[in-house]
Amino acid sequence: MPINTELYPEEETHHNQASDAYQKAKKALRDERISGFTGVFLALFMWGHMLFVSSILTGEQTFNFIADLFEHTWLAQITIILITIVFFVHFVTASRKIPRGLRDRKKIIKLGKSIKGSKNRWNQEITSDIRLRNHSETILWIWQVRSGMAILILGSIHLFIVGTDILQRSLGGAGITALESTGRVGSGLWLLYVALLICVEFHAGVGLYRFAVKWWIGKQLPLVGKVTRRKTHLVEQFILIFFIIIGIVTLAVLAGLIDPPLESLMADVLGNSI
Amino acid sequence: MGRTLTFKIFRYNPNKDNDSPQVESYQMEETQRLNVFTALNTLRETQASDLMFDFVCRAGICGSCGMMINGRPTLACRTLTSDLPETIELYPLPFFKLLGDLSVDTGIWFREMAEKVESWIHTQEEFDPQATEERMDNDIANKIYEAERCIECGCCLAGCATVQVYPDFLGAAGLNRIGRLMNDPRDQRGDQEWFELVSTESGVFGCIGMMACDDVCPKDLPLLEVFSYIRRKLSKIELSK
Ligand code: HEM
Ligand code: HEM
Ligand code: SF4
Ligand code: SF4
Ligand code: FES
Repeated sequence: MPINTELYPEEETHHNQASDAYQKAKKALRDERISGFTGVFLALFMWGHMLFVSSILTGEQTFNFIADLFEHTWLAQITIILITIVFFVHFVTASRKIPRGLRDRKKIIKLGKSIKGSKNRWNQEITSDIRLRNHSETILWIWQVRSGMAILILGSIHLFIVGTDILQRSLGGAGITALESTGRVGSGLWLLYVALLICVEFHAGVGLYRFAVKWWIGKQLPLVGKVTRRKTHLVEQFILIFFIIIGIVTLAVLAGLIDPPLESLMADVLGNSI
Repeated sequence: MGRTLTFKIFRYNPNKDNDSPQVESYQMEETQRLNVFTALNTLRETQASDLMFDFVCRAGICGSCGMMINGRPTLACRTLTSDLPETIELYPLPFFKLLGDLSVDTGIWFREMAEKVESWIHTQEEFDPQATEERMDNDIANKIYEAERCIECGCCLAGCATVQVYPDFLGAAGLNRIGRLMNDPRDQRGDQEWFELVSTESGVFGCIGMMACDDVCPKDLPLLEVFSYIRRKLSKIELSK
């Protein structure tokens, strides 16, 4: 028979899943999962996104074909709503870690810079008894916050622009077309896109690295062996450079600076198959 | 050989009226295999008799001599001046209570931490001094040993930006302690208890993965591996409920 325990501290008498402490702990885990998984989801989306946008490298036809396919099947409409939601959920949950006070943010920057800068204030030989490791991840986090804020603004503008396009298509307009895209990128919007591209790739790269370290470092995985910082960092750097190069070339084509470099390839393929 | 070193040392005694923080310069000749701890002793004997700093073991074991040496937290007794340029800047570790000059009280923090994580083996079993010791799986024993190598120097906390901003956060040394006890089959605390203790913003989810602790720990503890172990374990506990 349950007895009355109101006079006794809850943490002693309520060790069950209804207790405040348990609910709080559950919420902390949930927040961490949401901010992490939405971040990873957005990063994966960006890879797919880059694949589709860079179809312009093979000429306008492919780009238009893909755009049409997605809009026709309502995939574009569904995706943009979904992505907008995930985008804001990530923003809200991830920024719970950003200190509100300016003084606090300055402390992080100061300490990060101090440890990073100490690399130049020591002169250790490789053979030194006690090799100190270089450290830059604290400052990288600061830049992750800064790039995140930039993405919030630039990404919202972008989502609004392409969102309007897609909406028009649903109402019988043209939707996303190579003509429309090259038009706006060429008329100066490339500036926004270069900034957005660099911010997104940097933010996602560092984010994925951090995510992997947080959850999997030290774990033995098949094929890759033990997950280490070194390995994850190398993968991150590769992905970062890869996507920035593709992105910049794609933007150059969209802005009309260069011709689609793979157009002849595409023509060959189509020519042969038709 | 033959270098003249300039030490720029943070000087401030919070217990003295009207004292204000400043940096004083001292010069001394470098000798062979001089370390920062020996240099400080020489300075105190010859130039600054009231200089405050801590040391006990001078062998990287007691964890007393942590300080900021040219911008990063590390142990003075393990730092050879030959690894440093001619100008050496010394500050006390941030975050801890300043006792004066380079001396901080890490003990207060470590005691509070130990109380918060109830840093002892929780067991109902009667201790029998005659019995042979229970056998333990080698992997687990190694993990516990790795965690036990922490010398409580406080460098990981001084280097962690998060703990400066959220002082309730248990930090690397605290999480390492929790990981140590979670791994120990003799500790009878159940999943629920661990979950409530560590799955919090002052527990493992306070860490935002800046990785400074891992880079500065003078004993090279696998701190990040402990965090990821705790994270995965909490996840498993929650999913199994
Ligand atoms: C809306 C603007 C955004 C803001 C303000 C923002 C902010 C942040 C912050 C502060 C973190 C660190 C969280 C932590 O360390 O716990 C973070 C993590 C992350 N972000 Fe973003 N972000 C934004 C958009 C994006 C986008 C568009 C992507 C994908 C391309 C992305 C991918 C990631 C990833 C993968 C992580 C790592 C998650 C983890 O470590 O658990 N973020 N974000
Ligand atoms: C379903 C949602 C989205 C659609 C349909 C979409 C569509 C497009 C299109 C059509 C372009 C070509 C330029 C233009 O027409 O203005 C483009 C470029 C770009 N978008 Fe998106 N986008 C979406 C979401 C996002 C998100 C969430 C981000 C990041 C926050 C993003 C970042 C970029 C970047 C960086 C470029 C420049 C590409 C490059 O460098 O080659 N997009 N997007
Ligand atoms: S974990 Fe490392 S840096 Fe932190 S107190 Fe222990 S020995 Fe020092
Ligand atoms: S990983 Fe970073 S945030 Fe986490 S405890 Fe270490 S220094 Fe602090
Ligand atoms: S004096 Fe004991 S660790 Fe340096």
